[in-house]
Amino acid sequence: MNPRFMLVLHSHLPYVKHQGRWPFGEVWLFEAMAETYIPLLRAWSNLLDDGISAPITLSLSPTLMEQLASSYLRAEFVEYLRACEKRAAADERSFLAHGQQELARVAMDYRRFYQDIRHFFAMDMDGDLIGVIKDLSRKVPLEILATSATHAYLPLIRDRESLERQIAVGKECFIKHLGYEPRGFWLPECGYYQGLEDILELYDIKYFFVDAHAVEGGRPIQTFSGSHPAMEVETAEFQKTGLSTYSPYRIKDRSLAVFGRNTMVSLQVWSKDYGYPGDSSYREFHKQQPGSGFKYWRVTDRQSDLGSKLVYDREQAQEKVREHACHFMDTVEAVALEANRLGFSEPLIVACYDTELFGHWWWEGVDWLEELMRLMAARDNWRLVLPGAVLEEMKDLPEARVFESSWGTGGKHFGWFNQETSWMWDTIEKARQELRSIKHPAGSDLVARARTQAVKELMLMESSDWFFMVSNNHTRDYAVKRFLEHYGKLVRLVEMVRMNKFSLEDREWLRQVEEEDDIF
Amino acid sequence: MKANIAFCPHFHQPHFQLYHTREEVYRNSYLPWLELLEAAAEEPGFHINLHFSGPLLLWLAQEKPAYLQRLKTLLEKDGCRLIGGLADEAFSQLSARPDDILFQVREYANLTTRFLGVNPQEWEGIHVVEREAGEWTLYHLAMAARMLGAAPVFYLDAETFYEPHFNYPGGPFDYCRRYFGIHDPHSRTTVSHLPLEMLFFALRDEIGGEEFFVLPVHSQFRYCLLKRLPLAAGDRSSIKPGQYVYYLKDAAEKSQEMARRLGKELEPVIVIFEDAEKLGQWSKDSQGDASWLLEFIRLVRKDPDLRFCGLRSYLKQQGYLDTYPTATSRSYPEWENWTARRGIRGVTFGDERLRKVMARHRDLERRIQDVDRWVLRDIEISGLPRLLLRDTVMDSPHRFRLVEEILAARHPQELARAYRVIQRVRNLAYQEDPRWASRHPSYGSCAYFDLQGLAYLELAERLADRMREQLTGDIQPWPEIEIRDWDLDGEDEVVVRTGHQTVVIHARRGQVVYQHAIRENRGLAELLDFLEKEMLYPVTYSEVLGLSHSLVFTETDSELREEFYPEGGRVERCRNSMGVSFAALKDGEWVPLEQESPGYRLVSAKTHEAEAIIMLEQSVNLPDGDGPLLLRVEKNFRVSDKSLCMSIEVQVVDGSLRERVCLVPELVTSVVPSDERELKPSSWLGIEGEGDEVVCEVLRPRTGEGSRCEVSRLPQPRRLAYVCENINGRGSTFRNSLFWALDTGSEIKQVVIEPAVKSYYRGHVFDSHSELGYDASGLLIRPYVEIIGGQASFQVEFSWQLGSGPERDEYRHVLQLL
Repeated sequence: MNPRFMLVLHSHLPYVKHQGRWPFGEVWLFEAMAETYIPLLRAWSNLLDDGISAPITLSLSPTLMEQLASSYLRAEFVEYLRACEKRAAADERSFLAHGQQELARVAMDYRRFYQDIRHFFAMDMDGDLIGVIKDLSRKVPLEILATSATHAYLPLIRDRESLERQIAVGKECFIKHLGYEPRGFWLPECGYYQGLEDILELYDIKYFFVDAHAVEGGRPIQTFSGSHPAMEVETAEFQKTGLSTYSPYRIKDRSLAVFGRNTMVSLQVWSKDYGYPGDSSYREFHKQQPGSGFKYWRVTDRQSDLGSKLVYDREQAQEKVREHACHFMDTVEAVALEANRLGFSEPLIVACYDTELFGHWWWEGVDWLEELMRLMAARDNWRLVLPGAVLEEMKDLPEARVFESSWGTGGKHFGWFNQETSWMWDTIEKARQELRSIKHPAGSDLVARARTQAVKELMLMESSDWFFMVSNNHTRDYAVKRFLEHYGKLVRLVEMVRMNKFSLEDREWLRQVEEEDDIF
Repeated sequence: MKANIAFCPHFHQPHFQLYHTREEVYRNSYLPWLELLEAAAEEPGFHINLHFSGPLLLWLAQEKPAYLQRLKTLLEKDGCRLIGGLADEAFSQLSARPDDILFQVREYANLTTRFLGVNPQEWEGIHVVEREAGEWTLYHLAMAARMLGAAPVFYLDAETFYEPHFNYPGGPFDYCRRYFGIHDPHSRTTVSHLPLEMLFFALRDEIGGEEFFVLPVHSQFRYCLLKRLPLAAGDRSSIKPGQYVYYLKDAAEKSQEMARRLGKELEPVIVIFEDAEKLGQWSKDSQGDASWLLEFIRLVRKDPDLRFCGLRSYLKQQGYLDTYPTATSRSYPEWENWTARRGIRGVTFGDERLRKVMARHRDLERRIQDVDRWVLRDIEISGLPRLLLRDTVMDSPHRFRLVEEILAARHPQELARAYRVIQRVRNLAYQEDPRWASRHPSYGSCAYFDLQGLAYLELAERLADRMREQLTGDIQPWPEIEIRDWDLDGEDEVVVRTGHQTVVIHARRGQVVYQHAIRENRGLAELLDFLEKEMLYPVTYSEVLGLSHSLVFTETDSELREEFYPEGGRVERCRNSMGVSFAALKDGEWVPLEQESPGYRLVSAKTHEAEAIIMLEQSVNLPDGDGPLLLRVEKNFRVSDKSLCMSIEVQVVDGSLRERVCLVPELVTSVVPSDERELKPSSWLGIEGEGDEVVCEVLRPRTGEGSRCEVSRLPQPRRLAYVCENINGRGSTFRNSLFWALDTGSEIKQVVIEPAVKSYYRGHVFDSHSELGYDASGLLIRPYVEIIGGQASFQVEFSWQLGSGPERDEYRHVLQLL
């Protein structure tokens, strides 16, 4: 048996540039850069230094790429790192003064961490993360996926023009930053409906990913539920298909291929009940030091309240990382054996995760990934694979239909369409109608600029993030504010275009909006 | 911003280092360094501050003169400068004499002037041994620098100055909370306090009015330098030169920012101090390390914000930031970790073996003090109180020079020469390595260095005796016997000296805690001739152990450990010789018995004709035997000129023997073979016996699969010879041989032979260092003598032959130990 393992990491952050710094806004991007993206690139670089070339499939959302390329954000990120280092040093001094040696040690680790990240970003990476990714792709088998422009949740954007725009702009952005055409496409939230492939095919996309139940049927596993406490989750039930995620399929009557995410390996990492990140040794995400905001404690006990958390012990956590990497390896071995029993001589195990899970949410996650890659590389019978290569190897794929689905709560669209968010979809529809009303405007350059900006505002409204935040009651106020601000801007821009009148104040405002929301 | 980098590699190998090690480090590190420096020195903007320890300079002068010549040429270039130091890399703060630091610095100055053409006025600073910087050391170093015209500039670890935090109410130093359980709102640090970021400038300090300047060393730049390879399993951190430069600039930038808050526009300096052997020897990859360093040098040179600098030249250009006193007896964190914040005095006096070396130092210092007093007592200045001059000189940094001058002027020349060579030996034996390395958790036991040091100390003490005899006309009577607290542990020892040996017997323990023998009882001229040849400029490789050898000077033994608490509180005792234990036969095996005893009582210690006779007695209760058993033990030592006899009489005085019990004397020696060239030492034990056979168990440690016990049968052992072969750095071979003649009142039931100490500091140093074998710890022989009819007796006569020994075929039974 020669099993194959495909690691797919989806990287996305909403567009937060110029949209507030802290506690919501640009800091999200900086945290993800410091805690996830840079450590991840370092880990792959370390692997390379040790002669391990670990294939990885990476999706980069256009909003993320645009922000990573921003010179403003690059400079601000360095200042953010400096500030973190200072805060950590201040915490360290304070802890030492109070005789809290264990906490001081963690603070020292933070101080060193941020200094190192600053070094890697400023010196080794020359502040250009996308450049580093491109460079890495020349040394490591790396496949990058495109995704929708503002990470719109596509199954609910049934308006053909908007849908096509999300995919087209997403692809354009990919080419702009990476310089070549994408082959694969990451459906945000694995959100799929039958018919989406028509547009993907139109844009020459060769494959995409869905969740396990979209291929296999059955009941989706509640891997990541965090829904609004007031709401009852609607869970979809899917007919068993007899198919499996151990192989990719060709969408029936289409040239597109689809890969199904493996449930078991996803659960092992994501599950809030028994996933690795909840281990007692790992850093507790939710408890923060007042003032600095650093997290000095470990999970201790998943059920315990924040007051009873014990101080984080890095060595203990690292020991657990190694243990969990071995455990994961055993798990995928068992999964592969099961697949082999079902007749797959080269079963494919597709492990899809949000990139930000590693490092940002799960502090030790990047170390775990690195350790896993080392273990995987050391196994002779295992192959780390990329989707493109798999499709080239497997010319005659079996055909399949896949269900309308997502990897979110309930297995379909509940996470983005529910009683809390239905008004948002209505508002989006109104915004579209506003835009349609000025479909063929004539006029000056200002008109063109205002219309273009209005389209950008609509696309920003369509980001899946606002719906997710509202549904899960996470930073709901910020999400509603952003959503309505973009809508408000759109309305005023449409009005300006419709009236074809631009006062001095209007012109200044337009310039400001263009600067604020200067995506694409 | 312009930041200065003072790059200060430290090159050091101790006196008595093994040939094999020296040659290896020379190939792996010192040669590549020289090649690197010769290339770098051609480039403008390169500057380096080199420190070569005295012992290394002496070795280079004798073994690698061409290297020294190249080094001298290198030092003629603008960018290469020398840092001064101490001639023997000595921990002179352990010495009883206040003039040793000046002597050490002056001797080092002689070395750099003679070998490298660099005088002390040209030194960029002075290297403080291990940066162990108590106030006493700094004061005397600063004074020595002043007297020699050298710049009193030192690099010391930033931690020497810096407490990383202020104290707060509720913090660790809130004494009200600790002792009264109340919150003290005033438990705050009130003194001015520079932040760590500001310790990148020269700082001034003064002790007793002696001014000096310190450039702090920041540990991170030591540890990160050349960090290319893993330190331990799981370590994947490596630091590239670019990254390193980034750290330097980052630190410099922060320090300058901080200094501006004081209104100072000084350029910061970053001292990169590290052991030179890190290049090539630690990694065994000279080329990789050299490439790393060259790239680092290139990056600094091309960086407009960075420049290399010298220590003294930096101070001259930039001045100092402020006066900021060093803390007392603080050093770098690694050091403080394993010395429990007690520094080298804590290491030395807190360790039974190292303290024995100190006791020998004090013995010699006592004798040389007598000489000094004798010499000075005749010096009178009219009008001054008679003893004022003498007492002044005794506490003066110029004491040695003055006494030497007086001896030279007023006495036969050989006395001044003898005085000088004794001073040389005494200073040399304070070299840092035996104390530092042998108690560092990552290094390991280095008894070999101490053994050589002790060999010379013994000869120097004998020379001091001869000097005193010549000065006073009083001939030293042998044997000499004293009862005093020799090892400063609060208990009395009986110290016996004869013409050929020194023996120290711990009165309460009834054990020989130290024994040293010399081959020949030489007169002044012979001793002086030998020591001058060997020690005036210490020779690289010597056969001194064939002339003078510590017979009992063992490592501390983890089996003799008293643990107070598991975190590390413990006392570890040395495995001394001629102790006694008891064993009972249980299920066919001799099992050690617990014994309760207040220890021996010293009955008498006196001389009789040519012998010293020490009589001890004790009562021993054996509670875990088959019923309580009270024994009376009488132990007599007879120390004659060339041998040591010990006899034990055991008598049951209460209770009766219901099981078989043995008296088990422990015959211990620390003598080991050596092979400096191939590191394949050889030793064997010859046994002659008679009568019924006895079980002989020989422990074979470190077989690769743990220890193995070999069992054989021998006749009742009567004569044992332990023969160790020694091969020195020059390849010459000699033997040292020890002999035990046994006599017992009853049969020996068993003999156990094992390394004197099987492990020391177990669990506290690396396992591979903790575990010792016949090659490192010596020999322990335990004959089991059965108590028959309520009594047992055992007698042993211990003698030796240094520099030679019997052949194997002279013994019927030979056990090859190594």
